Amino acid sequence: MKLNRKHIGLLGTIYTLVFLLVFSLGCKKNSNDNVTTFTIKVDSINHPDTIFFDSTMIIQFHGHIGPTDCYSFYKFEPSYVPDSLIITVLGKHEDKQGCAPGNINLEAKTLLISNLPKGTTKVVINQPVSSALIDSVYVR
Amino acid sequence: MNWKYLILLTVVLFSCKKIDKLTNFYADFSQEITFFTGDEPGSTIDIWIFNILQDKDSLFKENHSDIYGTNKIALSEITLSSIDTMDISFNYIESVEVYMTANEMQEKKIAWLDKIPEDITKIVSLDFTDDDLKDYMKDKDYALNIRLISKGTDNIETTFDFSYTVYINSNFDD
Repeated sequence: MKLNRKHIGLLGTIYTLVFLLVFSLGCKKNSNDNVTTFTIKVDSINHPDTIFFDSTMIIQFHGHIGPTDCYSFYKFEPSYVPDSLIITVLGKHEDKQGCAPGNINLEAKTLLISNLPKGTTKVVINQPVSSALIDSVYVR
Repeated sequence: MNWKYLILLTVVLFSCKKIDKLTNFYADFSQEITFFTGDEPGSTIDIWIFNILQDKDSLFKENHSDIYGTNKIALSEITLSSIDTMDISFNYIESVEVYMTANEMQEKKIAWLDKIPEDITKIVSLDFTDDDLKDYMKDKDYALNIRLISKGTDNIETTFDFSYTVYINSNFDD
């Protein structure tokens, strides 16, 4: 088939559209790009001093997350190594226009831990800069 | 028909079944969990279970096996059973997700139920992945994270039993 000027023009338009589509998709901003996570400074925790073996330990967290409603709690990251429960409390900040001012706090956010071994377990709360907040629980 | 070949084939087939029985086994795990449901619909109840397979070696030894010679570990059942003396059932849960974590591995969603049926009272069976979990369960620090999305409006104390069975396809221990 011989290509005439009309065909070439049509092909050119198609190529341009495909290029623009690929380009726009490639440059599509990831909605997560504006979200950053950070370690929340925990002021205090509440939990029982002693629990029974096989019971669930309930830990409540208190602390300031951020000064606007663009800050929020993200998740707990607990891990267990022999005799120590290590917990990082993560917050997230969404970088956007129109963040309403206001103190956003942990408000006794609760974490449940099950199957701690008998004896004393150290509870270590990681902090953003200062040394960790350390407490303990006795499992009998 | 050559009977010798038929007998040989039967022996081989039965041997395979016997070997299969010796190298495949199921292991049950369960954990009782007591907590307050919370009175904010939409909030997450975040439960972590640590120290799950402390007697891993004996479990595999009893089954003439070794975790490092395991071909595959997969879930075969995962349930939540209400064991409340009060008849609370699961009305306070909107949905459930269960994640598995291990050192230096990304958390893996292993079971879920997007909506707890209204008529469920005592036992909820979760949907689960068929993926191989051996790399997680080999890790001595592997843990489970149960995330319940609450729909309760009363903060009540409740207890359920979290149980799961894994199918282990293993090699013979030397």
